[in-house]
Amino acid sequence: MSFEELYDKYFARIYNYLRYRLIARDAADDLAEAVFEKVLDKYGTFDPGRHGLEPWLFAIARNTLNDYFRRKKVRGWLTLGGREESLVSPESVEGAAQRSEENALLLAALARLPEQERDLIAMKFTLEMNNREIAAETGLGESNVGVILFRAMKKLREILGPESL
Amino acid sequence: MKENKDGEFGEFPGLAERLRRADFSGESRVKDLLKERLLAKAEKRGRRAAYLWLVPASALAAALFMMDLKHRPAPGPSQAASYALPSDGYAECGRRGLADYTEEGRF
Repeated sequence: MSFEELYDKYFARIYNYLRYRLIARDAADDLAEAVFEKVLDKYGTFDPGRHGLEPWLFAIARNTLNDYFRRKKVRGWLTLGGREESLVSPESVEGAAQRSEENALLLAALARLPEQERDLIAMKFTLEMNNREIAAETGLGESNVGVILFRAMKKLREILGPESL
Repeated sequence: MKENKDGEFGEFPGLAERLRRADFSGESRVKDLLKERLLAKAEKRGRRAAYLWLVPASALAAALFMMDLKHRPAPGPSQAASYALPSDGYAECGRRGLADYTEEGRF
């Protein structure tokens, strides 16, 4: 698969994953750039026999995102002790609302979930990972992943309300 | 991957479907520009790689040249003799240097 085909096929999924995690569009744009830069740099040495393409690609996306959170956290400690949730600014949610009400409602609901629940929801629905893969990736037990996902879905349904589903 | 259909979220079928089909990529400001930039970068890198063989080739050529200079055989004794300077410094041509010319009368 050429890099162009890979980009066309996976940009949306990677971007949606980043958006579910970060909520803010600008941050997701920046991270998408960083992810695909890395993919291009490493694509020449990618060995399909050793890894599948999707796990390799999603690992790059997750590692880039985790690095970003680590940097944010350190910067937060150095300033006001900011938390990851501070990435979810009301302006970013409001801006999204102007573009698409439905998407914005979903983002606003996701923004109210704790970081871990949002992470699992993002892996489940944008990267389409199963519970075993999520467990392996996060270090959680497989049944624990199921419980956290169920709890997150329940919260989302409560936030969004039955009429919006 | 891609094995979780709504059996797992039977209690939330509408929500699961909505989470799965939500697409924010159309809102990205970088999608098209990033693609152009990365493809241009890949092409440039490919062009550079096409000429990359020149580097070891020219290094090899330089090494062979140096080896050739170092291992050129020394001249044999007969050859050495024919090129040796005469003891008086003027060889056997009969000339004795500038003095010969000045003695010829034309000066």
